[in-house]
Amino acid sequence: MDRQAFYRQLDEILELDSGTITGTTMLKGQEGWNSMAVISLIAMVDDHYALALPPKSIAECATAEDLAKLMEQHQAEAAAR
Amino acid sequence: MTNPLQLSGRTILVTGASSGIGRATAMLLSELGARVVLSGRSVERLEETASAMQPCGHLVRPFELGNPEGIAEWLSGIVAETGPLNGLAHCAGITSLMPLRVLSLKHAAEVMRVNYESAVALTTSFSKKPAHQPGGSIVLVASVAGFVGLAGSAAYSASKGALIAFAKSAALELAKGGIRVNCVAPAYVRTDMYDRNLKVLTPEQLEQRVSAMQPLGLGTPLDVAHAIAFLLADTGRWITGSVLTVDGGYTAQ
Repeated sequence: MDRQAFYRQLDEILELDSGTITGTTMLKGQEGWNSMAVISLIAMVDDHYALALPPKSIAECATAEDLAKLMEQHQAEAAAR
Repeated sequence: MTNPLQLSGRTILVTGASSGIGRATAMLLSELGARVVLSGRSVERLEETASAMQPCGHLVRPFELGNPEGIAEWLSGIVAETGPLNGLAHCAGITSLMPLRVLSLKHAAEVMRVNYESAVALTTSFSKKPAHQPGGSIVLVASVAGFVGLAGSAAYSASKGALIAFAKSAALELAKGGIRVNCVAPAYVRTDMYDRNLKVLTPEQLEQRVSAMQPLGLGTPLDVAHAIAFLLADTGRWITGSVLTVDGGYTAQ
């Protein structure tokens, strides 16, 4: 997965200027990181990556990099199936 | 004692009959004496519903509503077998939890096609001779989201609002031909479609949403099926162009 492209998608979901999110960005500190953002993330990931991220796992992610790792883990599991 | 809801001798087409509200409707209509034509995507699941129903010569006729152009021909094939229909309950539909920031035109169009265009094709096909009996009744399953807002569900809301507006005008146009057209508008009901919300919400979030919004709690598919049967049967004889809200109090506040 192209992590940089994923962070740009996160910028859009969180309604931030492009380039704001990096791997170390703390999600919980972001003003836009709310339930609607989580729903948007799940919908975007389903649409673009054909992956179903469980809302509970998303809630456990502290940083943007954690989210990227969660995505990669789900991608690997999907590929193994 | 006569039962004003009884449907003996009537043939009614139910879409979405493999699960949820459609399944409960098909089963209830058969208990009220109707012969039901069950439609949905999966033959196996439709057969499963049919086998749980009162035996009354029910037919299973699967169809993919994502292709509404094919509905006219499919429906005339059914009518050729069954004779003119007495009613139609359009319960099939898709949900969409897609906030505006990720909502694509493609997705919005797909929701409209499955939820709304299918209803247009079914209604126009049903209203043509010889598809219906005099006194035919059409019930479209809309949603409270068709008249109150629901954040994250603009595309879904629009498709259900379109159904309601369509039903009112269709009711006026078809009244002379003796066809009634009504909607039921449910809120959250325990179905597979409801469970799909768990893809984006935790069970606690979903429960919180429902208990905050619905004073009577979560509805069941049968609660909605009862309202559909009421509009299909003679109990609905003087009702057309209306929206029967079945929402546990969702829109009372």
